[in-house]
Amino acid sequence: MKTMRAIAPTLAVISALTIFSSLALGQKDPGVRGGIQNTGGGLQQQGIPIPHPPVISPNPMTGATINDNELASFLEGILRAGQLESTCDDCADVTDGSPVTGLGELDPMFPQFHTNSNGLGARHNSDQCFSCHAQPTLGGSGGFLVPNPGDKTPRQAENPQFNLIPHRYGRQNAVPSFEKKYGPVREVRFKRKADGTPDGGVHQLWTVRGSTNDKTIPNCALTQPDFEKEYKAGNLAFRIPLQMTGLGLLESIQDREILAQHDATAALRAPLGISGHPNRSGNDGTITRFGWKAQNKSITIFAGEAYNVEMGITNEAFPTATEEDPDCQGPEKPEPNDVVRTDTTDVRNQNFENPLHIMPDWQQFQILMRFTDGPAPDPNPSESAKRGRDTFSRIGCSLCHTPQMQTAPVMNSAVLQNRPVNAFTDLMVHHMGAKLADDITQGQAGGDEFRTTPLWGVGQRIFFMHDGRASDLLQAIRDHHSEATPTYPASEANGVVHKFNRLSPQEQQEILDFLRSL
Amino acid sequence: MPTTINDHRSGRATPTRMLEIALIMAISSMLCFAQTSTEYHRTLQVSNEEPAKLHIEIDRADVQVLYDRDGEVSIHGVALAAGEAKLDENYFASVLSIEQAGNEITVRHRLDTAHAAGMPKLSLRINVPYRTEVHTDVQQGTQTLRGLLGPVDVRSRKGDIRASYISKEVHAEVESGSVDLQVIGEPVVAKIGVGNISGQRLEKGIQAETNDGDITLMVVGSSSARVISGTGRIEIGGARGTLTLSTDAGDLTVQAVPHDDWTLHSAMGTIRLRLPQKLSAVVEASTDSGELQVDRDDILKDERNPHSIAGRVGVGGKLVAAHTEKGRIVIQ
Repeated sequence: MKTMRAIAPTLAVISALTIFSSLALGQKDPGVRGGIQNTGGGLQQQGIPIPHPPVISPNPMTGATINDNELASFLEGILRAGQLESTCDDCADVTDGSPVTGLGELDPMFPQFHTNSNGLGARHNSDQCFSCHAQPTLGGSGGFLVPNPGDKTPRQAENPQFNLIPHRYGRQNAVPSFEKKYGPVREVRFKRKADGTPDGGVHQLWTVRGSTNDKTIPNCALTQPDFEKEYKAGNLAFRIPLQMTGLGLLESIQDREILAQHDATAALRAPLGISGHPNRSGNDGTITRFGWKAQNKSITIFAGEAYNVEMGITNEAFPTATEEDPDCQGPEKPEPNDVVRTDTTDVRNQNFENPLHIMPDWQQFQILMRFTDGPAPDPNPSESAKRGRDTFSRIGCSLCHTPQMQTAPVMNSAVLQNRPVNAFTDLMVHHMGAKLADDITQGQAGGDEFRTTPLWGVGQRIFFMHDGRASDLLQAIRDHHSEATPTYPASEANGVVHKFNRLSPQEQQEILDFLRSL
Repeated sequence: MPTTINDHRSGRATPTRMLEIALIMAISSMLCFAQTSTEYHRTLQVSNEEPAKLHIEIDRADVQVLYDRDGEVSIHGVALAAGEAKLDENYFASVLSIEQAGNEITVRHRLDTAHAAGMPKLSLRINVPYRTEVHTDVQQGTQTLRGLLGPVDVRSRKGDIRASYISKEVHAEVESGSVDLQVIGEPVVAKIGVGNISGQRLEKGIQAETNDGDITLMVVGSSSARVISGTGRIEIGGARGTLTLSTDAGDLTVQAVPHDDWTLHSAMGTIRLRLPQKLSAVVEASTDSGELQVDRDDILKDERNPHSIAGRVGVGGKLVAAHTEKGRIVIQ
């Protein structure tokens, strides 16, 4: 009995430590909400189509719904964004206005496995918008897709950059080692040019060399950049695709709202070392807000750039090709490739083939983005998630991940105007320190500065941070921390991450549960 | 002597007074609960694994079936009372029934005979997943369907039908009303008693038939269109397959590249062909009694036979055959 009394305190300490330890080990990212098998590629590999992007919800302030014309444009946008691009101007399996011989150009059931649009650039990152935006719905963030669309038995979904896109139609591309089979969809920027001066631009992963579906470019001999060499030299910066859903709402927020929200938290931010500033347009000084560094001004610019940079399709907004090698363009491919037709002849405006004057794909794509709803949170969040929301605010996460902003009071579209946007972003850029820095400057966003990523939809994302380095939210939170170096200041998030680390395991779990409810 | 509150409180209630009180209470109750409009909202969860199937049976209402998001079907109804009439808040319960069996949902509306004198105007907006099949049977009312996988089978006795961005087959029948179809991925059938048919981007074509009305089609696959009687016209632009067209007294106009054979016929209406400048086809045109006018250099009329031409144009190709009994033919 005495012995028992003697060792009781020790046992108690051991028990407490054991319990604490198990709790400490217990907090865990619950994973993609609904299970990865029930979203995007997971559904696709079960033979279930990936859901379409959701239509913008009724305005909660007025009840206004998307109007007929907006809905028609939205639906047209789905058709265009799902199109699979062929290389030359008239070698798609189905061309607009051509005789219909079985295949259709109006195929909305992603993924198309016949080409029904034209213009894929000599260099590109993808040949289809939804290849990189399909998690958890079309228009979502980057995820997995089955590598054999159209086959009766779908194979396991994987990174579409691993096999599907680089080798489609016989294209002869070497897949760099950073595109993993079950890793994130990544695009590449070079930090510096060969002469050591800053680069920062996107270097497209793939070329059209070897395309079996374009007889006009037999002599295309383009080679890919030596990505492996640059990777080893530490000269690559990766970016992953975010969801394009809800971008119309983000665009509808006025600068004054962004600045007012920022000002309102100044006193709370200061002690934590959080500053932040807007990235601004070099043309008119207004706040730019799209992209990982908030470098793009509008959805329209974003769409035009995506068509040109991601798919190599030139357009009115970005009329110059990133690769102009004539051997890889085909003799009949016009520049810019995707434009509103105003020709005086019938050759291209297809007066006799298609008397309807319709918008170019890239413009329909921006309308699709405009009227797609923001990612929907879990309608029935757990009690843990509800508590996590409070803790998220209490420790200061919401000082940057602003839970709500308001769109402009009067807009052309009744469904967009004067409504709350629960995006969890301040649309500002912040210093994140050397560990996250990509050494790329865009506008007024420096090498370690990134826009506060909107957290709506984070519950159903697979990869996190600008380069997809994390697939675990706990790790993603910790990745916000970075000490000062001679090159970069400490991360502005350090104070909040420190507070997070001091939370009990249960409170940390509640925050993770909350995030997965978004 | 007027009734006073004091009287009421004094408890000296008479049968007359009680009747007055009951009347006041009844009126108050009506004022509280009766209204000029009432709304209904219900959301049903459906599975993503299978398409949703929606059956709609409506006596009299305007119906919209619109893509919104996957995983749910939401039904929003608005009833507006006619004139000075009032609606009680149980109106929808008395006229609308909704049944769900898995992914199959049936929406039924039956006229409430109690409201027959001042029939409310009823609108239903049904938001559905993309993968939805729709079958409707509407006695009276406009139907609008947008952004669905389909197939869609829409029937109406009286009322317009508008369908757009439907990926699979569409079958639309209406006794009296118009049908407008845009961006349909699979074959379409549209049959109308009296009314117009219009269509754009009907990739796999349409069988369009109206007893009396106009038919206007732009960018269509292999199609047939028939106006059975009257002066209804047919106008086609951007045909992308075979065409079989006929009118009675109405004009028939085609502006397209002849990618496949065309057979055009009118009893009395003018047939007008607008063909591309560089044409390759076999053209056969004849009138029983009307004029045959050719405004092109590459097609020569035979002066000995002013009512007929037949021959190869360019390097030849698909057959463009036009015949009218008493009308004109103009080839441009």
